[in-house]
Amino acid sequence: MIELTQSGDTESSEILRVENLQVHFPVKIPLLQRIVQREKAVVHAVDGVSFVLQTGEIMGLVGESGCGKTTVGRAVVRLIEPTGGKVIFEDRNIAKAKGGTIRALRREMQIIFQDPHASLNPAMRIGDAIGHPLWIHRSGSQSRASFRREARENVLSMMREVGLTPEEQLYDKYPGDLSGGQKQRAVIARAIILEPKLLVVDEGVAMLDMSIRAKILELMLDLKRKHAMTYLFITHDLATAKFICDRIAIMYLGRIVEIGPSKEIYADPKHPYTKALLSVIPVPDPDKRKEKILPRGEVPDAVNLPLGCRFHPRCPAVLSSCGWEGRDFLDLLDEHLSDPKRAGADETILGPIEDWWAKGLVAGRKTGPADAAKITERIRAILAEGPAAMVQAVGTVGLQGKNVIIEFRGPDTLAQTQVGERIVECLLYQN
Amino acid sequence: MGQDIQQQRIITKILGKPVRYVRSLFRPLVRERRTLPGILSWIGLVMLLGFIFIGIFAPVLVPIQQTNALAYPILLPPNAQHWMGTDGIGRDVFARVIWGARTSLTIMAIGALLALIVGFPIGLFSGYVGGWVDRALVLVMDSVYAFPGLLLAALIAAVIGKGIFNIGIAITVIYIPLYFRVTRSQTLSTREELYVEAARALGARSWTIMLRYIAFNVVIVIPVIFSLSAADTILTAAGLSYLGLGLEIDVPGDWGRDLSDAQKYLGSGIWWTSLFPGLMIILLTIGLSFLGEGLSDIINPLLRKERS
Ligand SMILES: Nc1ncnc2c1ncn2[C@@H]1O[C@H](COP(=O)(O)OP(=O)(O)OP(=O)(O)O)[C@@H](O)[C@H]1O
Ligand SMILES: [Mg+2]
Repeated sequence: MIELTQSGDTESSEILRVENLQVHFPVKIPLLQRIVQREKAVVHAVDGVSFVLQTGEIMGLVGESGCGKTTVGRAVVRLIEPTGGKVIFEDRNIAKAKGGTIRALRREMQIIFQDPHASLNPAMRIGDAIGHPLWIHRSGSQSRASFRREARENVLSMMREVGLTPEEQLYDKYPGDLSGGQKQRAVIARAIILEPKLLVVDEGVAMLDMSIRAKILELMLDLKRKHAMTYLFITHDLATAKFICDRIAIMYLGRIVEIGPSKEIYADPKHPYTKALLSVIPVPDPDKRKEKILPRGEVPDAVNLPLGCRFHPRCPAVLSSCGWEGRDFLDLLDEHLSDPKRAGADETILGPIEDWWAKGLVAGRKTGPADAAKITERIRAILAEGPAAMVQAVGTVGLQGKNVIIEFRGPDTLAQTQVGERIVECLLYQN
Repeated sequence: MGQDIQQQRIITKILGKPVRYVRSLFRPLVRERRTLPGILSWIGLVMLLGFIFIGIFAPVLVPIQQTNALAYPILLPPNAQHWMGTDGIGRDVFARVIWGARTSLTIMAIGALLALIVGFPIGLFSGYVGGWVDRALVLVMDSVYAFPGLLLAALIAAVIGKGIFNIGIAITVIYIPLYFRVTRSQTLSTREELYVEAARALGARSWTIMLRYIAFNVVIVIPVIFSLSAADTILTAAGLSYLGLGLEIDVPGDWGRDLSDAQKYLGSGIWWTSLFPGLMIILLTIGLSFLGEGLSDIINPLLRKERS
């Protein structure tokens, strides 16, 4: 008796464990360039993501567009094969599972895609679409006719459950005849008709307007209570996540930077990126509105990732040890040179930005020894305009062979740190 | 009562798809009726329907006896009784021309149907499976396609012999690659649709995905291929008959053969035996070309838009 409850408490309550998940996509580059470049370029869509889902909880996966949320979802339900890492579903690592095994898993885990319209076959009636999973996973023993009758009943009751009514009429409609909200409901019905244990919802409500959005969210909470379903809820909308999620993981450029209970994260965000994201949620009460600190600059691309913490080029709380590198200096230089007021005569001294190169921690340009002193002096002046942390990170500036170079000191190793009940990946909280 | 509803449901289930399909084809045609491709399609469609009407009702329009040899005096110029005159062996040219429509359309239907039955599934399979199977099939089809059509058809016709059905087969071989190519390229793009990935996420097998999720969305291109190839079919069939490789001698109407028979009279100023069959070939070909070009102009952007 005791043993039973124990095993029930410890093991079976964990339904999904993702460990160091990596998904890299090859970049399509011209053949010639591929020959010249020896290194293979890849998009680091997901680059070392770990989290655990407990049975019956809703975990939000939040982040800006392109940070890899959908890719995590698709890798978890094994629509794509991870490049590395583990996906442990109910104590089984399915990261490298193949065809038949994966098909059998579909009963247990389902995904709802970002775009309900595009994920419905335009040539299939709604009722057939919702019932199709039943046919796919049907065992051969039952006669077709009796199965058909049962499936139809099942579909109709599922349609009632998700609020697709009048169900008899809608059964024979095609997706083109349905409204956005109805299609969303149809997609939900199709995903849950097999009563999966885990449901990945990718922007499940993003395409809907506010009134319907609330209804669909209520519906999902309802389903969770009724069927003890576990959700991985992907969204870029923190307001929605707050409403529905027990725990939240914040993603940035393929990594989770902060993960923990929603309440804690909303009340007191730790990671500077989380703070920035939270500051841009629209707040209804104007008095409460905080200063918006949406990070400056573009999201760096996921092919050539920034050194150290990926957020450091945009981070408002950046330290000297966060990963400053040659590229960051070039960005600063570019900014400086393209502003005519500040650039002054610098273009003639420093040369056009194209003359500069950056490699790892070093940036530099070719020059004769005569100009070196002048260039070094200008570099120091420009550095002074940049973030203070960047200046502190500079190791050497000077002539090295035929190049004037500027070299940064390397970053400190970033590690995941427990802060309260959450895990943060930021040097500010490491000691 | 319950049985009635059940029956009703079965009927809509069987007829629902085709009716929906035809409607989905006509909707853009109606919407585009004022643009050039729309106008072309409508003209072509009306002409084709006219020919189909003539073909179907030929026995009612003119008695078959009028197409027999020696039914009338030979080489009568057009007059009140024989609107298009009579030919070198005393057949009524008007009657021959009308019955010829029936023959041509039959060949066209057989050819198109066979090409569809063979080309569509292969194209679907090839596009969906991809890999070396796909590459091999494309190679085979491309080499057939590169072969001069009439020559290939003549070759096949010479081997398998005369007759409407055999000519249909000979023509099929030329058009299978066309059905294959268009179906394949449409499959390639449909394969990338989200609903296909969604089907995989449901656990569907490849066959199921191909048949239930892709095939139905690829059929939309069939009318375009059909009308693009049909004009050629008519010409090739007429060409084969002209070369004497076409139909048996007792077929009641055969534009190609009539044209070839009429040739020897042209020098003596007898124009009516060649003009009218030739005119029919041209009219039907033009109608089909209008329809084909118009439809492909309308449907292709439609497909492109759907994809984006
Ligand atoms: N099949 C693919 N091939 C190549 N690159 C891909 C592929 N799928 C995604 N990517 C890239 O991986 C990165 C992450 O994409 P993903 O779709 O997971 O982002 P996301 O967080 O879901 O964004 P959004 O909020 O816009 O949906 C992006 O840079 C994207 O371009
Ligand atoms: Mg996404």
